[in-house]
Amino acid sequence: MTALDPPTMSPPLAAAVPRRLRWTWRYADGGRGRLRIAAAAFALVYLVIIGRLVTFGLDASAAGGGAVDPNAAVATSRPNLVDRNGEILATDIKMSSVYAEPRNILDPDEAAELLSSVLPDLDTRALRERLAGKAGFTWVKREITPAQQKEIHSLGIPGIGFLTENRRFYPGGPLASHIVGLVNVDNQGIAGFEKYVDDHWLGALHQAGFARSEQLQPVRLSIDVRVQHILRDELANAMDKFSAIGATGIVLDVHTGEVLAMSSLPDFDPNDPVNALKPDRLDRMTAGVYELGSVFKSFTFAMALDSGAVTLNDRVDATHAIHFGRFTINDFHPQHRVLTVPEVFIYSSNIGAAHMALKVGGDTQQAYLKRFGFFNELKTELPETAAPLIPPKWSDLTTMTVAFGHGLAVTPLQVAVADAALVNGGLLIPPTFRPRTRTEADKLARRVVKPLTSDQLRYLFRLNVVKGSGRHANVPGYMVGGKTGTAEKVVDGRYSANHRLNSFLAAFPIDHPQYVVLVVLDDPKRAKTGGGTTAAWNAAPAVAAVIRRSAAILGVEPRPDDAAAALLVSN
Amino acid sequence: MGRVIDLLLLVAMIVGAVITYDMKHKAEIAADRVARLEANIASERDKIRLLNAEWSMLTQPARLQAVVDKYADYFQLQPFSPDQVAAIDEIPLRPQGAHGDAERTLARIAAGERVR
Repeated sequence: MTALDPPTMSPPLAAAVPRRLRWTWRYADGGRGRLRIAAAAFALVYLVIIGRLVTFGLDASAAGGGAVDPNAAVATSRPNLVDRNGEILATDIKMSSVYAEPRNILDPDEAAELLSSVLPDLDTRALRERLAGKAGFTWVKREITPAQQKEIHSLGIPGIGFLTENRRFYPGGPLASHIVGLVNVDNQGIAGFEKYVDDHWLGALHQAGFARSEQLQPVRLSIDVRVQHILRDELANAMDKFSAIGATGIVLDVHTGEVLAMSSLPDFDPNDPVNALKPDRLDRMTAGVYELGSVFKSFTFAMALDSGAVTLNDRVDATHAIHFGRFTINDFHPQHRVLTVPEVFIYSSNIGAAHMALKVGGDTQQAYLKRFGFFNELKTELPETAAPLIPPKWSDLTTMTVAFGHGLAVTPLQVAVADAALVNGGLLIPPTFRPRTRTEADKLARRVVKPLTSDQLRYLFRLNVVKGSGRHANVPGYMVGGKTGTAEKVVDGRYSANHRLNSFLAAFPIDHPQYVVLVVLDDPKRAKTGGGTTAAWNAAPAVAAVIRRSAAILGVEPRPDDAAAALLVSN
Repeated sequence: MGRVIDLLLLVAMIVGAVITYDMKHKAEIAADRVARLEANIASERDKIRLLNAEWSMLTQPARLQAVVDKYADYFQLQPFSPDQVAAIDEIPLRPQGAHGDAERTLARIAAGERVR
């Protein structure tokens, strides 16, 4: 027994020790070791708690991070889609829906009466029957206004509640329907850019439960709503004026590949997409393939000049039609003489183009067409694309017909993209619906023709607008250059002389091109005001109207026309 | 002496309890306020989204065009032609003399300065 062991201390000794000493003793000796251990343990625990509190306090981001509003997670949020200037193309709006729990409703008659006082379009009797039932849940009305919700809330009927749901809203209605696309009832993208967003990241975010509206940054598109409206408006005008069954158009930046506007009529209203799946509502620009006719001569000229098979000073005999087996190749505006190469272009001579293509040769022609991207499906952000229809066998006849745009069916978008390459100095840039800088575009660019060929093509395009079939596309001050295309449509397996596909492919200002504009009209008729039925009479003026109205918005400065004439002479 | 310390500890404990309770109470009030504010913010956000959507609907080019067409006679509006577009340095300066001030102002605008 030691002095350091108070509990075992014998009673007589304890009694002998003075009170004061006993107190100190009890605390000062033996017990001190265990006490210290206990105190240290408690101190440690408190230190850990304090340390944790300090880290919580310092880490601001952790604040409130744990709480997820189940309502927000249920109503799948989507980011706003905005145009290049931040104008809204698609947004989510919260809509309330009223539901009832009939089991908890005390007086169904009164409840039905009160509800119909706020929602007068409800059938009171049917509502009363539903509320009197024994069901656990029934909808009263989906998607009511905030004002109605407030009124119903202040009625204070027991057993009536609200659920908020996200509803996709497109303020422009059909304005950019083919680009923006659609969502289904669960707010999931099923077409157009909406589907692109879902496929790339939003779908995964939804599955992980992280997609809440306030955390989603708006997604910017390359289109400009003002230009988009102008294009759609002019397409609608042309469709109406020439009783066409369809129309499509695009405005494309030649240096970045950005699509500024793209429209295909007839279209649909994504807010009420009852018509969206009708076959005539397809996106003709990206998902329809057509034999586009004479606009294709631009590419024949590009390959002929670029490969050196033909120069601008050469002459081509277009005196007689070409007979090949049972086929005859003829001109729409026959000149019956030897034409210079620029004349072949401005008179749009099929015979001349066919001769030039034969000089180039079928293999070289195919190599160039492949380089222009006409042999592959052109992929963009939009899921709706179509693959070109390529002739299975490439004979001399194929070489000749493809030279003026028959026998090879491609999407109008492919033509616009390849045309941008012809006028921008020879660089093919894949198109995009997202904003892209020039530096980014330069990295993607692929040279398809020499810069000199591009210069020569621009000269031909301008010549065609000043002197040739493109005169109706001229817009004073903006130096438009372009090529008409009037293709016969295939009806019942034969080319029909009465049904046409008219197009005009333009670039402006042609001395330093910034934008390509392509308009295609499906089966336009003669206007009531007279005029012809070829592209020069309908597609060309439509392009002119689009350029006239949108050039200032696109930031193209007008210049006096004599400067334009001077350029033409100097060439 | 021991009693004094016991008493002091007791007082300290009571004071501590009161302070803790008070803090907890205040924290609860603050938490309620935060929840209310968050709900308000959420509802304001929804309202802003709704108003943005409405604004965007009202400023749709198609709607503006219809409005312009409707009031074209009243406002005497016409589409501008390209020859009406010019850069500011293409505008000739007024001749020297009475309008010297205006000329200087115009020169400053042309130099890219901001003029009140």
